[in-house]
Amino acid sequence: MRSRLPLALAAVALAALPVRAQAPTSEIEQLRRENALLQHRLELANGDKFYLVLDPATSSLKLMLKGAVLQDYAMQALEIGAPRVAFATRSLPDGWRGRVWERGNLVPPRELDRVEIIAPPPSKNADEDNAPPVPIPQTPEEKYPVPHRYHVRFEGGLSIEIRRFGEQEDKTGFWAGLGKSLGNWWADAKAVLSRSSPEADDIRLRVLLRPADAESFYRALPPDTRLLVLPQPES
Amino acid sequence: MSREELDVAGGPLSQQTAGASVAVRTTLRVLAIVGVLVLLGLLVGGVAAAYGTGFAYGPVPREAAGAGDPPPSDPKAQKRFVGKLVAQHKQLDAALQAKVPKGIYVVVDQTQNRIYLKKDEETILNAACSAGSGLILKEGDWGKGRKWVFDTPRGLFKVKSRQENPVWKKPDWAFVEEGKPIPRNDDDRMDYGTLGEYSFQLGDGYMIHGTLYERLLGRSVTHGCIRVGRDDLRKIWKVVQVGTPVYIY
Repeated sequence: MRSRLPLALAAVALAALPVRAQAPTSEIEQLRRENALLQHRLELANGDKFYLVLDPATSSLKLMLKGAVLQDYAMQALEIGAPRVAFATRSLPDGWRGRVWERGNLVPPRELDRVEIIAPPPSKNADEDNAPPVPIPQTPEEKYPVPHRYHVRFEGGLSIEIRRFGEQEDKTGFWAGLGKSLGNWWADAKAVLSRSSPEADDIRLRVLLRPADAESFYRALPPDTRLLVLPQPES
Repeated sequence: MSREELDVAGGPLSQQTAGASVAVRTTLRVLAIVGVLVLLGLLVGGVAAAYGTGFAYGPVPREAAGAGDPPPSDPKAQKRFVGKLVAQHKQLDAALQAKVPKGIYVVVDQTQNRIYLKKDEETILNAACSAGSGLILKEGDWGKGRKWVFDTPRGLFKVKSRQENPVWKKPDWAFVEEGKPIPRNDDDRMDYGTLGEYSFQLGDGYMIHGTLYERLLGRSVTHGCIRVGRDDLRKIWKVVQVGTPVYIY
């Protein structure tokens, strides 16, 4: 549980104040915010959907379900991106932290290539040994190649951009690298300029994960995940 | 018209024409230069604007104090207010803690085919498994037109029962898939040994069980159950009891 002890101590100290003493407004405010946050966490834990809890204070990104931590990814770096048009940077909307973001999905999506089989008509002579050999399916690594940069886009204009920490994006030559850079720029420009489209982002969190974690996160993330970004309180 | 007449008449006229064409050419040149400069400016401006369009990244700012309703100024009222907040905090925290699994629980990553056995926050087993293939099986025109999707469901489950040396009562799809007639007698559905040494029922026919095909562990090959290798299954059998939570994602 995240830094509960100092807060609990503060709560006890506040409660123990003599009647005539005034509690500092900032501490009361912090307690109030912490309660609101606990309410959100409880709401997430009571729900049936998978959710992410991003905690800048502990640099962790947790995949959770009903209060259980299923995976804990250590963030190597975290930055926040505000939309910028011709060098004019928009201000971030208020209240993006400490609220629940809904329906987070991977961009590009992790496509499941389903195979359909029409069963043969039943025969008493059917013999497994005579059946055509079933090909060995691919491993998850073969089945789901992970892009160097991908997003988890939530309804309402927040997306998490995941990148691999300490790895260069392109190893395929100058022109391919240039093409990828232009492609990335175009995707970013669209996310900034098309404000009414579902691809529009008002806030972008850039998370750097270790390469293995970035790949694992892409392959593991269930659809329609919720998100709670914990506030990083003033020290 | 005589030659002289032409000379007299054409002399000043041709000079005028030449002067005008020089002026036009100069104007055109100036316009062309201005045009090129404008285009260049637009190009540079466009590239600069494009370069400056995207996202400006920076460190996540610390949260400034909120502007919520001010607490009561009267000391007694403020104390009551703080007491309420503290009580609410305790209540919410306790409710959240009650959600966190205690003791042994199982986590399955069905896409990457990994199974984790956890005790509180510690991982005591991290092993390869096999989850649903995602395959769709359809009955042809000869059957009832049924369709089965071999996915492993996501969510929170509990171990409903556990069995040693389990016997698998094969469902219809197992016969349809093999191209065999569906037996009328239940005894003909019984399959011995396929599920390995142990099985854990999760409900709706889904199980965690052993396998005869350990070389396929780590790949999505099953009809929705979770297959585990023999040695890992033995470890799981020792600690996982009826009621143990199983989280599948």
